[in-house]
Amino acid sequence: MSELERLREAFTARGAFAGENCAPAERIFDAATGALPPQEAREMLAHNLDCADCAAAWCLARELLVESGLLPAEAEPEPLPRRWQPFAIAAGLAAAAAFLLVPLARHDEPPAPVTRAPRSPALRQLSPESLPRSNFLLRWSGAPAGARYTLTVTTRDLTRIHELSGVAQPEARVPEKALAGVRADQVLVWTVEALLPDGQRLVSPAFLVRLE
Amino acid sequence: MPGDSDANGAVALAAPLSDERVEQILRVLGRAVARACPAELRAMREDLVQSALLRVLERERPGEANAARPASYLWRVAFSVVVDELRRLRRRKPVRDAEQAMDETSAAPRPDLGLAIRACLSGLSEPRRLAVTLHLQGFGSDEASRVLGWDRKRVRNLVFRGMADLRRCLAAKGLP
Repeated sequence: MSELERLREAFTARGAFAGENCAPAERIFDAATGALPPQEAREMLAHNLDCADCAAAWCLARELLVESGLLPAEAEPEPLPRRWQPFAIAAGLAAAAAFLLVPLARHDEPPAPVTRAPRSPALRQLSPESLPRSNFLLRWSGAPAGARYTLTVTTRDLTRIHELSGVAQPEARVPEKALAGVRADQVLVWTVEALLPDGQRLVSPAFLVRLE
Repeated sequence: MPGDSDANGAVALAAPLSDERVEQILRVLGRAVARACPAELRAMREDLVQSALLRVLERERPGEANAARPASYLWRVAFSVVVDELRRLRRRKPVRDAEQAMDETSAAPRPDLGLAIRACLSGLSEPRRLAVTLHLQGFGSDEASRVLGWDRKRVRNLVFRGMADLRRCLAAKGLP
């Protein structure tokens, strides 16, 4: 877990501190969309300093807005202020130059293994984009060992056709019976929710799969 | 009526309510509640969907010419039903004190860190405090800019400086 994730989790831990005179939930949702006058939104935010429950509610409102497609997902690193940007650019150029020059100077050595910084796990689709009715095996990756999964399969108009909870492996087969009402070439939507050993939840994006 | 539902499942509620329409609303509410529902409310998920449906229906008068709802409407109802239920639970079960919470599993967020963050934020200038509060709630610069009514560059600078202040303050309290 990154430092920022740790701070976020501590700040929005529901139940740790609850304030009084909380804003109605629907106002929080409106504020999160940017629909409220800024002054009112600022006053609501000031309240979150005394109320972790409302801070968590703001967090949830944003997640739902992104999930529903009403807000585009915005993932960005913590920003640098403008006056730092030239230094960042210079550092980037220096790093790029080093990257280009080092192989020239050390061409006789095998390339060093690349180590990437740990990233937050994300659930990814592993199964192919189309599957036969007789072996409709959905597979995914991303959650650490020990996670338990809930798989939900729906049609594109969100009619649920199959749900499976408590799945221990990152794969599940949808029985033919559940697919009985689905015609060939129809595209289905599936999502996975992972409950991690530390109690965190991960929700996948919606994946698409065509029934062959 | 599939034509009434957009790619995100949002439903315009302009026509009189038929069984099919109610079913369609239920599907969207089901998805939204499932997404909003924390583990502690999982067992109540179906009840919450029904509560959300009732709220929608109470505001829809069959036979009246209801205005088309914005796309966010059903998600907003689902959100408020879940948050209201969490608040109801909280009123029934008083807030645990920080020490009690610290005794719980180490995977749980540290309440002393939450308190320290709040203490540090209260020492920041108001603009930095507001920008960092949104940042800690997961809002990106564009989103925070819309909420606060400030331009994006200003928000980015406030977040950067505010987070630096916060880190310094936490370090001074002995919190990494």
